[in-house]
Amino acid sequence: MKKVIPILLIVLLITFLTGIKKKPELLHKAMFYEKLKNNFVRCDLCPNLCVLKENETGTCGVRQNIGGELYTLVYNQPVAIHVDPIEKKPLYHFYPGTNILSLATVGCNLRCNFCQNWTISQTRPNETTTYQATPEQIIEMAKEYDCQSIAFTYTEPTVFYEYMLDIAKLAQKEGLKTVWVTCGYINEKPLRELAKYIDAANIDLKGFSEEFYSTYTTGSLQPVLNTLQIAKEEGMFFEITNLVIPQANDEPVLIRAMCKWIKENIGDEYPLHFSRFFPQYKLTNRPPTPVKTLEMAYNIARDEGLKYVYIGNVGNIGEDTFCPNCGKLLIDRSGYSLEKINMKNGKCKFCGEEIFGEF
Amino acid sequence: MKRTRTLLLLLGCVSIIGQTVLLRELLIEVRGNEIVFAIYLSLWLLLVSIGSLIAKDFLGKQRLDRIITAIFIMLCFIIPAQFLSINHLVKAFAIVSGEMINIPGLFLTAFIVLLPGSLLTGFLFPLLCKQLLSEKQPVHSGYILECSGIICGGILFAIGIHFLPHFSILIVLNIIILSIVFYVFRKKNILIFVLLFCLFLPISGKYFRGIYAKKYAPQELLFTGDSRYGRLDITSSHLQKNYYWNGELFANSQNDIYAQQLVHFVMLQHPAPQKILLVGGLLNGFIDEIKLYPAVLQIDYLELDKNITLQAESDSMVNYIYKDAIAYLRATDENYDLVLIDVPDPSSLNLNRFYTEDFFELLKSRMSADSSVAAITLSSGTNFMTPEIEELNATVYHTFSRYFPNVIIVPSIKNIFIGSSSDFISNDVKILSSRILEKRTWFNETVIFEKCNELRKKQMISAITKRAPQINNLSNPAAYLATLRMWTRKLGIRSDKYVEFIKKHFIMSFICVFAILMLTSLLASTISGSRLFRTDFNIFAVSLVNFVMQLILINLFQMHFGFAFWAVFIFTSVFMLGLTSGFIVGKVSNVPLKILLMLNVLLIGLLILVFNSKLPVIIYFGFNFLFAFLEGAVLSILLKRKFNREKITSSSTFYFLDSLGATTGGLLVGVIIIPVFGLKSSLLFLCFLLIVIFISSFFRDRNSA
Repeated sequence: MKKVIPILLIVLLITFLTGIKKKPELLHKAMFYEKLKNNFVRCDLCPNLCVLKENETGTCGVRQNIGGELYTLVYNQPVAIHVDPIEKKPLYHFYPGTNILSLATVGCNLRCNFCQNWTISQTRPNETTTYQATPEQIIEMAKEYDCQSIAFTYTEPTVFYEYMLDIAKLAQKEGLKTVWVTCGYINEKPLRELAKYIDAANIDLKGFSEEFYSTYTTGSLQPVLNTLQIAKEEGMFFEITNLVIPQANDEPVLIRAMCKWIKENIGDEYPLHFSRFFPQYKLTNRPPTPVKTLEMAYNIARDEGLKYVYIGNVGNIGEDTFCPNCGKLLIDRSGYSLEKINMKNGKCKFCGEEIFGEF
Repeated sequence: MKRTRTLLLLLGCVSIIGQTVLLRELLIEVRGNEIVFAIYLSLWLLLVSIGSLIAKDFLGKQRLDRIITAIFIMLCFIIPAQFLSINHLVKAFAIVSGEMINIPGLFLTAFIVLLPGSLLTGFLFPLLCKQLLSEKQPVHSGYILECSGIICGGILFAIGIHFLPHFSILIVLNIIILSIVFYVFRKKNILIFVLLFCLFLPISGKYFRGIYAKKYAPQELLFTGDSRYGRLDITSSHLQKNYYWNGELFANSQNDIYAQQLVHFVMLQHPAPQKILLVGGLLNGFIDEIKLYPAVLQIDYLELDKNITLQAESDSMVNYIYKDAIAYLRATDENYDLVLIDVPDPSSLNLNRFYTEDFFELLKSRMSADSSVAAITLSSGTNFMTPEIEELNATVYHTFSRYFPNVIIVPSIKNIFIGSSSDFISNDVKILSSRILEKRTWFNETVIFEKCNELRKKQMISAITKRAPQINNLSNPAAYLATLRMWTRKLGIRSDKYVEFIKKHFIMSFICVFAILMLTSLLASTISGSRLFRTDFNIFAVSLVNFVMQLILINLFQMHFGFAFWAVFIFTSVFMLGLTSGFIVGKVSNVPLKILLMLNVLLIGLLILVFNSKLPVIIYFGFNFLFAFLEGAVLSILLKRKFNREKITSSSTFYFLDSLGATTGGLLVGVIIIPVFGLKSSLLFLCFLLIVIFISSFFRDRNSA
């Protein structure tokens, strides 16, 4: 009996160890990390800079230290693939009226208590079944569904950086556009690398105070501002979204300060979207943003001289694009559909003013 | 002696009213479900049991009168203060207002709020029993009087909520307490307090409203009103009205997209719907959208609480019916062309009724023709469904499909399940668009069909339909369990793993639960200094059965007859009446314990047999009374044994074991067994416990007289 017990223990240990390891074909070596002593690694992808011991996973839940190397657990494994109107991202100045193949894997590097996509962002890879789709298959899918572009969206695409980058590289070769819908929580080096292949982005500027970011998102504001500035430097086209949450980031003073910062540091041409908040995830007892609050934010942004300001998630208010020169209606939107376009070759049909964006 | 009896009655009255008002306010503030309720009730009872145990050391002291007076006066100030502190405590523990409270906050708030009041009420019981020492069975008398006080308190409260806000009820209670304490102890100073509370009473409602309004700041509180069904609060922020039901945001004005996305998909499924039945959606603007269809002649709207319909504009086309939906569908002869149900997800057993096969069968029976359409909405993930959401949707889909030959799923702001005998129904956007073009021009297709594109539809429908079919009914509330798991996921607990483990290792889990019960009882017996382990275990286990039975019967009653806050009170009062009667019979007669236990087992067996049948209300009350009666008689006999050995200290140890048994029952059965295995399995578990008590009743404690 005494001899049997150690053998049994060894068998159990082997079974346990083989059981916890993921199948090798599902793992993909991660980029941007540094090996530290004692098989520790530090992930340099985002400002969280997670230091991970063996078998530990980062804040995002999808990057793991396996044997002193960092692996991504979600390469080739999207959980949501949909076809959306590009206006839904929201992108109003980038091929309006087209469809975009939108995909996401699980995981996120922030913990926003109001997350509209919490079912994906707060799920871990081992908690759900995923689709298996290589970058080549994603490109094929985009073509099959008649999409001119592919969006990395819903959660924070930075956490599936390697997958996103490979798809973007392939898409560039195939003449498809790529869109990065992000919270902007990424470090400089990976951002500059990504900017070479991404055609457009929508960057969330969730609020304009460190207090808001630490209370509601567990992140911080400064890295997001850095991202906006670097994206501009790299010549990336992007639009900015500010989700206006009642009693959180809806103070006129903050909104004005944000608009001023955008104008001074980014420019007055970059479109700004004020989106309506709906109760979600843990913040379910906060009412939706009143339409009047969104109108107030819109007016402040216009007062501060931003040329393209929009209201989202309301329907029929603040959706249209006007010429900043002659003030005439350029794009008449209704929901996510285009009713009328008064533009030609990216210019106002009435006065010839060049409109910022890609049309 | 007469005075002490009055005080014991008063103690029961204070306990039940204080407990109900505080627990209800707590549940509103933390937006708790049935699990939270079971935990809070257990916590209350645990603190009461500790209070009674502490009192054991005071039983030998002189001048207990002074202590008793002081405690009653303290209670008058503590309970209202606890009531007012709840809002602040919840705010302190939630990171930001409007956010779900986290697990530590959930417990700490309740602990701080409940601690003083429940400790003191537990402490009072043994002291008051000591005052009855000249009686033959003082603890029996004390217990009977306290239970009678609970019945009186329950009835008083059930009447009081029709006229007064909860805070004012507490002030009335204070006036009663102080007047009785003055009558008993003749201390003139007390009259000053009586006078102060009398002066405060007329403004107490306004005072509370002022404090309560701060909860919603910077929103402005426009209306708050308690009815016998719950509390409706209406706030305003920047011209937008927000509606809260029992503290939970459920509707708001300026919500056109929500109404459009849910109503039009359903309305387009019938060629010309004339008679519509609507459950929910009134304050979200559903009526306005329905009225856009010219064929509509009549809209019947079902609602329990008049406070809600009063907020909507009066409309000659809308017929408001103030009835529980199930009760109405059973009783009515009306048939409908189209029924739309938009109620909250099945986060309680009561709400789960709207997603059961019994309900869908009723719906089917009220369809006017083959072309009639029934639709029900359910939460979905915006772009992806977690396993819990998938399970919830799959369960409702498979249950719904049993009664409608054609069922379609529409991904929208919520998932919509539409059933009909006709093949006119469709979720093909092109087909629906063609119907719109034929009829009207106001329709914004991109808003309505936003989420219903082919790829999304394919993914959502495949995720829902591929899951193994589970049927949601009263004995297997699968949809309720999936919703509970969604809730625990948000709290960061992956409960599905535990549930799977428990189900997989059923026997081992069962043995563990039983071992926990034995150990808790043994520990309680040792702590209380008693040596009557078997008797103590029996008291502990019978109290557990007693408490859990009450929980099960209330749930079963609500599942069959709908939710009614006041009915729960009457139901509880009948239960206490049965318990008291049983206790009296056990005190004065020598009915064999074994016979009582066997009768109890048989009665549970009978309940299991008729579990799914809808019996007349009186039968449920009869069951309720009989159970309580038998268990009261068993407890009474066990207390006799204890009193013979321990004399007056048995008041403390008995009360301690009784409350602890209820606490353990609430936690084990209310939090684990009912949610994992359902009500029917919980009844089987209770049967098993009673059989164990039955077997152990063949043995006597070595030390017992």
